[in-house]
Amino acid sequence: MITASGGSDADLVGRILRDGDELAFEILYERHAPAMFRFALRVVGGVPSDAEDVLQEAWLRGMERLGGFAWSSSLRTWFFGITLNTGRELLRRRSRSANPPSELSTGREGRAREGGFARIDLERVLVSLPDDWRLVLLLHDVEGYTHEEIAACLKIQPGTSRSRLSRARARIREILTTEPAKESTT
Amino acid sequence: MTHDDDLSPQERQLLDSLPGDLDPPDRVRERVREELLHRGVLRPASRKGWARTGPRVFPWAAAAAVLACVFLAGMIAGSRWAGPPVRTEVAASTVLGPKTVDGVRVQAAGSEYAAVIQALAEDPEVSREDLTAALATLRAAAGQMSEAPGLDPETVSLLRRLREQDLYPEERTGLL
Repeated sequence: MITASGGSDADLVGRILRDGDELAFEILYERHAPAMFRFALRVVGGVPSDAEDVLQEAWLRGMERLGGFAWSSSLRTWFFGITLNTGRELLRRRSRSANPPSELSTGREGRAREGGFARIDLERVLVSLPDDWRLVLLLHDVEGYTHEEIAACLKIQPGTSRSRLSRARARIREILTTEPAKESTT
Repeated sequence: MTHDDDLSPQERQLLDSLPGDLDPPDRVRERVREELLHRGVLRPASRKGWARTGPRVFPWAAAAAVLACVFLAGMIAGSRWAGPPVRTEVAASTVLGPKTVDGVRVQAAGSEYAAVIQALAEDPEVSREDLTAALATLRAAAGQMSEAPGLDPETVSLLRRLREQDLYPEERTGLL
């Protein structure tokens, strides 16, 4: 990725590895952190404080491992993978402690209505899905990964990915059909 | 992407309409940056203003050292073409100590450079390594110049003193 200011991702990574260049880090962060944060927020089920923790940890891990990045994918895809894994660890810890999320939020909560459902409804439905289903739907339907890529990421079979996606979609339809948007007055 | 989709176009549109970016709070960036600095993955930028718009301090300081040496060499060479020193230069040399014009010029150039180094040394964001490198460059150049033929003994002595300066940033004293 090349922008008018800062150069390509590869240039910036080179500057960080060679010089520990703080400015290069800041440019990379500004470029990728917003997408990673939105992704993290959806992975952890809409809890902003958890998403912040995931984002922070993902950046720390990513920067520590930067020298081993082989550029077989884009840097953003690689960062998304780290974000996903960090988010899953948090979900596992949360499920062990049996503390359900208490501060559901979707961040910038749009109210635009499309196709009969408000966007906010879809965000809320997404975070209400079981974690395993949500991750597959998020990766497949929102981020555009294939079932094979998802299987590799989540260490499951491609068939498992397909079945989880199917269930997630069915649940979403059920919820959105039976629970009309509450923002209809706006 | 595998499109074994049974998503309707309407559903696809709805999913595609989900926003992709969300600015995280600034505190996350600060925490990450501070931790990376602490771990040594990042090195502190020399100065905020420079860091955002220009190169790091080391190339700047090294360039200053080279320029100072070139300036110094130019003045020494120039003095040979300029003939006898003018009255003010002689007066200055009397006050400052060195008896020759070359010596006065070497001392003046060295003092200019020392002032730059001192300003850098007083900046907490300039690293010791950068300053040490800048000083090493100047000392190496001074050492080479002291070997040049035709210099008067006092100039050679000044250049050797410059070369042998055992200065480190924390001393924050003048070079000459």
